[in-house]
Amino acid sequence: MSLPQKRFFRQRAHSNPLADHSLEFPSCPSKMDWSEHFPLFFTKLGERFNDEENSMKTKKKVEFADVGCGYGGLLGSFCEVQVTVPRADINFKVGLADTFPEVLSLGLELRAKVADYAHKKILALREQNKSTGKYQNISIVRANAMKYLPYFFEKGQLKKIFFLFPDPHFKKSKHKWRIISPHLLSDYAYFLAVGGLLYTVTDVAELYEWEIKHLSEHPLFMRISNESLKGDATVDLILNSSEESKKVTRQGGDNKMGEIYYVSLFLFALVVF
Amino acid sequence: MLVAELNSALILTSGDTLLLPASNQLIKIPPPDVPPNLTKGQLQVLNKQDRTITSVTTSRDGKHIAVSTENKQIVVFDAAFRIVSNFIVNRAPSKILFTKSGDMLVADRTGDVYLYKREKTEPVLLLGHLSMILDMALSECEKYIITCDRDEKIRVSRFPNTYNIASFCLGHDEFVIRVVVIKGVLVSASGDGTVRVWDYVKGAQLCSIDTNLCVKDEKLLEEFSGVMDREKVDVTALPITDMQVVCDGDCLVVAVSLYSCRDVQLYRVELEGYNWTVLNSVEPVDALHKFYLSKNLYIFDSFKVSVYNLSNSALINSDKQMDEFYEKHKNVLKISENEITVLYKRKFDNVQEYLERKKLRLESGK
Repeated sequence: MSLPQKRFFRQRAHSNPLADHSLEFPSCPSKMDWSEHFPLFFTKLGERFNDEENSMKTKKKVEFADVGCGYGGLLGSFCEVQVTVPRADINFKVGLADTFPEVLSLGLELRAKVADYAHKKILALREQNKSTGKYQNISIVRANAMKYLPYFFEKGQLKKIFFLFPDPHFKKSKHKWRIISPHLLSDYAYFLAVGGLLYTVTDVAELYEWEIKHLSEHPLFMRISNESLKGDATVDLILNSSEESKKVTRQGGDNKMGEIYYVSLFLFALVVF
Repeated sequence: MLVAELNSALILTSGDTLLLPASNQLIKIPPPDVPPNLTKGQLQVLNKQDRTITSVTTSRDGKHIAVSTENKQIVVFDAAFRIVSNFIVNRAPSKILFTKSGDMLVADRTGDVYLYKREKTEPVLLLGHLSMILDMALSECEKYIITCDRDEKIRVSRFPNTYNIASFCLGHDEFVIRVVVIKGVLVSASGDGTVRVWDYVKGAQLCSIDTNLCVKDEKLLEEFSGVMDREKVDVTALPITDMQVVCDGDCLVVAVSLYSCRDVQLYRVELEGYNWTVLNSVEPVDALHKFYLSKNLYIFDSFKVSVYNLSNSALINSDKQMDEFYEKHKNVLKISENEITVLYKRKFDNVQEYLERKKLRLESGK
């Protein structure tokens, strides 16, 4: 099974998040049939694994969510070889699938073609790595994260949630389409476990200011200092593996990383009432 | 037409008028108090617009009644119907509520909920849905605010710290049009034709009633799905148009009206075990305008007001004063054409088309 070719899956960068798309989603998280996405970890809804070892697997839950995952670069990449990275000190790995082999990661993407590509890519990666069983821990759904996250995730289920290079929606009238907004942050806080992390990266200064403002103002999020970012393997992963960051790196030259990206990391903190 | 109750007296609304049968009075909603710095153009727009009442609510202490109108106006009256305040909000309100302390919650059609404090400060934005909010309720303890939307969602947020979401009550397959908190549970009604009872703090469903099972005439659904089919909307049930709940001892009594059905269905739900039974439904003589459930069940049709006893669905000798009033002002009482069909989603599916096109392209070997 060969990897899908991106040129057959191009789509414009925007999709109206408020429109009534015809999407499939479960009526509530417990009705979600995860076996279609992670066949190694879940049996069909209502069925059970027979042996002890496997029944432990069914207790697994998706813990990482990549919202607006695009072509799925963060989840898992094509290349197994070491990629040339501008900063030499990074121990580079490709994608969440490799870096967190024990964690189930799910990408969510609204654009139909792009979601289709990412899905085919994951299937091909699994097929190619059959012997090692790699890439079984990543999957993607076509979903509108702004409206339908509660149908996929339970309260406190997620350990990490990613918003990488989201649509900046420059016009003021389109600000309500932005994926980071005061309203939606309350939703994200609901899905995150206490101590869970929200990652956001953008190469648009204006959006960065907006995100920092709303995340800082939200009572349930606390900013993590730039100092602490250095030790986080996920940050390096984000900067190097996601498709968008590769594009930005290609276009913007290699040594400008610090100037191009605005990374921010927020910790979800529980406020006691 | 809407119905509310203030100190056991019914208040009806029709268009831009409040009708008070007890005092034989009609009150027209006055134009809004316009801030002085408005431009002439804005003024014209405000004055022209229709002041049809969209929501009516009473305070728990029985001292105030408030209405919201189509032209974004909110008018608060005291118990003697003197105007206490009359102001304009930014977006068309769909539902208003008083809190215990007399502040006002305003949900609007763009999906936001604002808190208007009694001291006239700027309103506080409490929460937002990405969809039209169709109803809103406060828990009895006022620690939770519950909102439901044109999607299938019910959101339970802490109050007043609404950034902290307690749960989502998920299970409805269509828009949720009513939420009522009573006796520590949440009762919801939806376009999918079901009434559901929830433990709203946990977001767990306790029971579900399919009201369509009690519809004897199968043609009604056929007809409705035929109409909706032309708009490319798939419907599998007659939608609930209104639901009201009262407590009767250790049971809840739920009254429901369905689209194009003439009768008002009644259900009894036990608060222990959540078993439910169907009570006799009540059918008006003429087309149903509205029903109102409190100690008794009031049915408003195009001719008269009928009052029914809840425990045995028997007709009570009707209220003479009410009848006369209703007869006299029948011409004022317009049925508001609150078209429920617009709440259904006209889904557009571009995926099927895309897959077919791609298949063709791959086959042609490009």
